[in-house]
Amino acid sequence: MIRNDAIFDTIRMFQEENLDVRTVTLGLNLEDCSSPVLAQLLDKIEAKIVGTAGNLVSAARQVERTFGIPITNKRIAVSPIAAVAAGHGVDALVQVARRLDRAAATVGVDLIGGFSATVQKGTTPTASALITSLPEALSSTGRVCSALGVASSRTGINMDAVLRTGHTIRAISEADRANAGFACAKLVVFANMPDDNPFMAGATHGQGEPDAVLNIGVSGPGVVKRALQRLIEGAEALSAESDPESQLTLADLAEEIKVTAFRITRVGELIGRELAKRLAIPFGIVDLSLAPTPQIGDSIGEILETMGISQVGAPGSTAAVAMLNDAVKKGGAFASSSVGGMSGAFIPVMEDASLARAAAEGSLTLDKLEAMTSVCSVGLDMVAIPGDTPGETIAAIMADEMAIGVMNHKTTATRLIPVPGRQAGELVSFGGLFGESVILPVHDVGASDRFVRFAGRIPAPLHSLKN
Amino acid sequence: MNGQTYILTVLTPDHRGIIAAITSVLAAHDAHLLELSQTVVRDYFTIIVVLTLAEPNDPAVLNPELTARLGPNATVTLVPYRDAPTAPPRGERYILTATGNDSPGILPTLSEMVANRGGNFTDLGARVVDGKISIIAEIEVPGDIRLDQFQIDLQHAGSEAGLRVRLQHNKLFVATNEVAFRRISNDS
Repeated sequence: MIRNDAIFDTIRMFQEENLDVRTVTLGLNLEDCSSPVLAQLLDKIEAKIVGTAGNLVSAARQVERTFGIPITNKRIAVSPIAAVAAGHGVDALVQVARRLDRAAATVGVDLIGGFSATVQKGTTPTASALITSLPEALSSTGRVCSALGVASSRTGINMDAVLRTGHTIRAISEADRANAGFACAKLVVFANMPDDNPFMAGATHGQGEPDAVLNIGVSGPGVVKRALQRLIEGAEALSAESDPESQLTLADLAEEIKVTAFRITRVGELIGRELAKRLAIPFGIVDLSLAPTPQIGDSIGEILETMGISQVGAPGSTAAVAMLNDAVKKGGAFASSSVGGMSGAFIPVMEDASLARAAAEGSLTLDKLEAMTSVCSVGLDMVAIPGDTPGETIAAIMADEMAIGVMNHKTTATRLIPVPGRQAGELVSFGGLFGESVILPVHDVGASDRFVRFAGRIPAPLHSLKN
Repeated sequence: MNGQTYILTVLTPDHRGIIAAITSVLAAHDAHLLELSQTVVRDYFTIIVVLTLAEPNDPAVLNPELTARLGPNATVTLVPYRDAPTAPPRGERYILTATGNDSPGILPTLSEMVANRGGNFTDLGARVVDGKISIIAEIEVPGDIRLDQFQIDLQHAGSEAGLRVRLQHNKLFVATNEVAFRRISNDS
């Protein structure tokens, strides 16, 4: 049997520290549903989703019961619809979104991703139609999520697409004015978009994946925070007894994070493999991203506070999140040979109560967030901005974030929410896992209009030439 | 090895040299060890040994020889091994833990709940320190039970006695604590 202290450590992770499996996401290929006849396309899409994912939720609940671990979200990611629905126009794509929504409701999942297009080098007519359809598609459905790949380290940044997406985000926000622009929370704009990301809203079943695959996203900010707290408290107690060996260094904190990430990842892989076996589909990857929720004790910001950054956004925040992100990867990579997706520490402002508080208090700004995303996952995520921010300025914010990803060979993304009719400093709340925060100010609005209007493509970086 | 199989148990106050004394006596009589388990509980040494004795070794001599080597405070028993009349139930392996105030009757309560659901204890340890008890048990539970309800019932029974009772699948502990998770997970 396992050592007694290890048993109680494990029990504590589940019972007191909010460790759950954040999401199980069924990746599903829909390319075999293509048809020039819209009715056939819609029926084939719905039939495949319902046929393959019909027992996803019930099987996940069985696994929850067997292991006594909550699986918070059960979701589906499908092939990029711009490829599945090739040849169809804007109105047809809106109908595809609605059919995806209905199929998701039928099988009981709360979100379905993949109303997506990859346009990092150029835009096909269908991808263009998909982008045009987004305001209506996202505001008239509850479950459908979209991702746009607008940049990569191999191709550079498609600034035509970035500029257009900036305006589209404004249009989505206006189309969903009644919900404070919430539909924008269902669109992620990527550089180096992953093919196997299980986290919404950016999950898409990419090229080179099997027909169906089960990917899993773990959670665990609360576990990491408590592990660090115990380490620090233990060292302080020894220090009070004048034990010279008790002096902690940042390397000790990194080691504790690494070990904790190992354990979290193992739980994810165990649950993922068990569920994949019951669904008779291959297990794909475990994404070991630390994904916070608005719940107190389940926060990346609280981890940084425990590490000694009393106000998130203060100098040192970037170094702290870099160390956290790296240690998480090291622990997770040793725990599993199936690590994939984004696998870093998320800093979604609205979804993390500590980050939202720091934003409200003015210590966490858009610029500091951008700096932090250069060393962690995944980007300017769930950031509310003034509703009158012009499309060009939104595009410029995105271009900066894409550049970080392209130049550093990493995935970066934005999920920006212009809140119609509201200004910086006002509170916006979406409830549930989407949380709340003040609207962050955007400075020097319009000052980069000329730059983004050049459009075209920012060429791929020199280090893309590796062959 | 042909011969008769026996179960040897020894209970004695702990001191140096017990294992050496037992194994040297067994070796002198050509005893073949099949399996053993040994622990020390509150300074008392206990061991259970399954062994085979080949003819013409006489099992009757083992008990007095071991008692002579271990001293008058040792309790030694040797009984013939017999197959269990019914095989114990098999199933999924779980870890049951209970921590809190020492509560008379908690073990009978928990063990009866396990038995009523067709479960079987395969390893059990408990310790009381300063009035606080901690229990860790490995149990096997039939795969078709409603585990969530079982967990709730156990927690309820525990909370009535001032204890936190938890039941989690053994695979979780293997996954989070063993380096070679996938290679050994089929056996967990």
